[in-house]
Amino acid sequence: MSDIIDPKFKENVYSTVCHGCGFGCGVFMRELETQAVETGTSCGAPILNIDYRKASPVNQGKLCRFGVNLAGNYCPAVSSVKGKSVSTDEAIAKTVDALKGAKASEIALLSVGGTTNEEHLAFMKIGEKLGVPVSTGMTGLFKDIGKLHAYTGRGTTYEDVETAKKIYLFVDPYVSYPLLVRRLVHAKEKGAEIVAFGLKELPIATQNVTVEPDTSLYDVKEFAPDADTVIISDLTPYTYAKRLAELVEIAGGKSKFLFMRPFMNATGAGYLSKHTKQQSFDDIVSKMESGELKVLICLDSDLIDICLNDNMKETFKNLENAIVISSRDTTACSVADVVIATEPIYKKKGSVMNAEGRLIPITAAAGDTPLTGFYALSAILEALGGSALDFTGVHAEAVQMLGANEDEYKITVPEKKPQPEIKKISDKLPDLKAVFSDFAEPKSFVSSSSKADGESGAGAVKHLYLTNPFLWNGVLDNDNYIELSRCQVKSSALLKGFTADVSCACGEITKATRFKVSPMADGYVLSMRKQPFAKAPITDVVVLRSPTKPNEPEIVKECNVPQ
Amino acid sequence: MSAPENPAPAGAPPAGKPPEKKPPAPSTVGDVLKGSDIQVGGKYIGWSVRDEVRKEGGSGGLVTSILAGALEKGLVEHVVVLKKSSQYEAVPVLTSDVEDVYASAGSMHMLISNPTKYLRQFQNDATIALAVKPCDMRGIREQQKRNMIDLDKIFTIGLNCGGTMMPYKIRKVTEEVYGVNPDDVRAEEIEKGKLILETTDGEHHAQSIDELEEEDNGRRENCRYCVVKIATNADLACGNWGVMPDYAGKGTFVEVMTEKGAEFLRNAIDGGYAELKVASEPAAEARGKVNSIMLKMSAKTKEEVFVPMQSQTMTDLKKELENCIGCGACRTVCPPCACGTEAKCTAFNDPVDNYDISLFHMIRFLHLMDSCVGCGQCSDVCPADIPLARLYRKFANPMQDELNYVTGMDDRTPPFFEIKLEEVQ
Repeated sequence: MSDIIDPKFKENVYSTVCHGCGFGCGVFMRELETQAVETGTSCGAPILNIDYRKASPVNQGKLCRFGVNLAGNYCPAVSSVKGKSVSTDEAIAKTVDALKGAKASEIALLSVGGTTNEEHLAFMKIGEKLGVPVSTGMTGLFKDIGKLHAYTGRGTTYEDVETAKKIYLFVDPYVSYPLLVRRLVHAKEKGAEIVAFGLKELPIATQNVTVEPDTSLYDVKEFAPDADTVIISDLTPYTYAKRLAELVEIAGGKSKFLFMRPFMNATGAGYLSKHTKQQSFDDIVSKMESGELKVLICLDSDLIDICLNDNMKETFKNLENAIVISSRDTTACSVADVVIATEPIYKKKGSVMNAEGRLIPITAAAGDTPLTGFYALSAILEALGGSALDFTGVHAEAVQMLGANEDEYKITVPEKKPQPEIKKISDKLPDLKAVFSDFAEPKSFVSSSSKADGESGAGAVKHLYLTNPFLWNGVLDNDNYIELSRCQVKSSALLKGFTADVSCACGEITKATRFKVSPMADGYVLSMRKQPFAKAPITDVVVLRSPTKPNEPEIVKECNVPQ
Repeated sequence: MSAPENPAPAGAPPAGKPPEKKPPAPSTVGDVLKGSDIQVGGKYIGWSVRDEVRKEGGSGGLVTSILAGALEKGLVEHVVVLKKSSQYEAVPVLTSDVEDVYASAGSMHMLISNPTKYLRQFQNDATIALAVKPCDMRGIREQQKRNMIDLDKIFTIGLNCGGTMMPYKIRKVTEEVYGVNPDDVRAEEIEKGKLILETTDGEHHAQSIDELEEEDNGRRENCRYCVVKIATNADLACGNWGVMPDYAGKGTFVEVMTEKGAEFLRNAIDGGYAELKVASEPAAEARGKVNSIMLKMSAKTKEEVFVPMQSQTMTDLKKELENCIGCGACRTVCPPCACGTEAKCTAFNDPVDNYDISLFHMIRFLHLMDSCVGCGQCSDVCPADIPLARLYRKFANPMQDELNYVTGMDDRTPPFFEIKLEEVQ
């Protein structure tokens, strides 16, 4: 008998949702338990395989690159205290001690929607007990745009996108939300006009309009939404509030909106927490930096991976107790003081809500899988003086709060409330430079490492992230390159086969990175992977040709490449 | 899963006039057979001896009984069954529990699985029995030719297949075209050119498959031009084409294709799992006739789909592929793809390249010319809805037609393997 199959093996199949983004793709996860092989991977994960869930109303079995490789992203977390493996009960006890030893003002609870509605709600109950609301990471945005957030909730379904006459795209679907592509393809086949607003030309678009990050939409004549228009944008912790406000001011009340979300259950978490007074993402980070925050609990929300500032790992050390409740071994687990390991997402039971407002049940097909995550939260609540939680009761409460239909094939549109009057507030909101401190005027600095024509500012560009499931989840892919326009490639003196050095004013340099020539605006460089030189969503950088072709110096000589 | 499919071809014209003048020919001749009567090449009608299996399994539950017998009598260590999570979806699961085999009796046309890639993960480390559609078996045989699946380790029961349907689409059609709650559907059947849904209240709801397909609501496109409808490439070829009215819904037609198939059938008889009789000549003829009608329809669809594509230019091809997001799912699910992680299509493809058409696709077009089995799994999973199966067939059809090579039907060496490089003088 083999190492792969033994007579006592058991194969469990779970119907779950991909955690790569908030699109809500259904997927089957197959877990093979054998006695001969305890684990399938070096990280301790069991042998896993995905299967395509072709009856899913969201994705009909289709998955993006992240989803196809989903089985490789379930390295289990291990419960620990100060890096030492402990039982889950010990980790829970340490968490309770930390919470009891801190004032409410010294505690922050973060849940961006990386887990089920039921766990998020259980976490909220802990927050209520402590007098500390659970933050979803989006509060800063809503704080700024006020009542306009009424337009960013459940609105348009993916099927509505397919029948739209006009679609305005403010996201790159190929990179950020790949399962949108087929919906747009269907819309285009039916004659939809698709206008892409942004820095990069998209093949799916019938018209591409270059809109720079700090351009006011009031100045973009092509942006003329009407009743036939569906506007697709997204809400992330880094969404620029002024742009969002302009979108709603101009199109609110006449066009339909579909706001994509980067986290699996960001929509559900947002709805459950919508009436709570949360701390913003920036508030939490600032308090961590100042030392004001003593205890941070992240529920399936890896602040280090989510934060585009590479220094976050260091900032974590300012906390007295960084506590991570996690279903996966993520970056934050490696630096957390306490890790409470829970079951993997595919073994969780309950529901998540996707970007279109569809409640998707997660049914642990294997039956009575222990819900370690939910009951860990319940145990913490009990230890803090609350009542133990009953899963069925919490599930019913969550469904009621969400006002959703439990049939995943039907989306319940919430009762239509009169939409708030739209008052122009965008002109009062801070501009990009104020929001992202590293954003400055083009060519504002020249890297000291620059060898080529540094004085003239050649190669100076703004770096922007093309956010995507791999980036948000801290997973590496084959995306270790930057993208520039053809003109920018010339300006940076780049040559085919050579690499680029990218540096920022902060002194960080990424050497010998590969580059791709893309149809996009000049003056920008895009990347999909977290870069040390980028401390903010938008950063001034200098891109120049690496001095030598990596690993092939002899070829450089032979070719006599002009310098 | 284990039940045979399609008593009559999907989309086939209604059968001839009701036999008012002449009574229908019987399905069988002679008495119930002994195991030793079973021979390679023999054609039989069989059924399960267990009442509950006959009731749950389609057409008498013969397939379920053969699988159960093989497992209990130790001919195989495991059976692949389709584990249903609803009437519309199921995943292949390996089991060594005979109750799981019985529980999987019955099938739906929308349950599309990919047993080839599923089998690959077990690396020929156990003996496994499974029921397969013809295209599944073609994929398995292509893997065997590339030394990735050992046919000696597996036992296959081929099921006739007139075509499969996408689960989400058929669910939607059920609601919007049939006016039936999809959750109320208990069973479905294709008969005399109609897709019939049976609801929990016992009612039958029928729609013409031709009409459904005119609106792209019927079978998957590749099924409509598929050239293999009876899985004669498996150890046993089962189905209900050829079952005459006297055994309709109660018996399965089975043709023994290999000695292993005969052995498993003998085991089912001798172990008390199934009963068989010799199929009558008219029954065998009826089966051949249905197959012939199906193939003619496929040939017509093939022409409709591929003749216009002959004038396609590279620009058109580029347009078809422009929305590719590089997920790699098409390769991952591709039944004949045996390359594993060291594939040329991925090794030579670099996301920083700016070629008009990625090398990933170009290499796959070339690679699949002699191995594409036309199963359509690639199109099913493409997140950009690129009609990949059609594109692969566009390149594969000319070569396979020219060489009269039908992939996955026998042990014939793939054409590319036969190429001998000669030194140019």
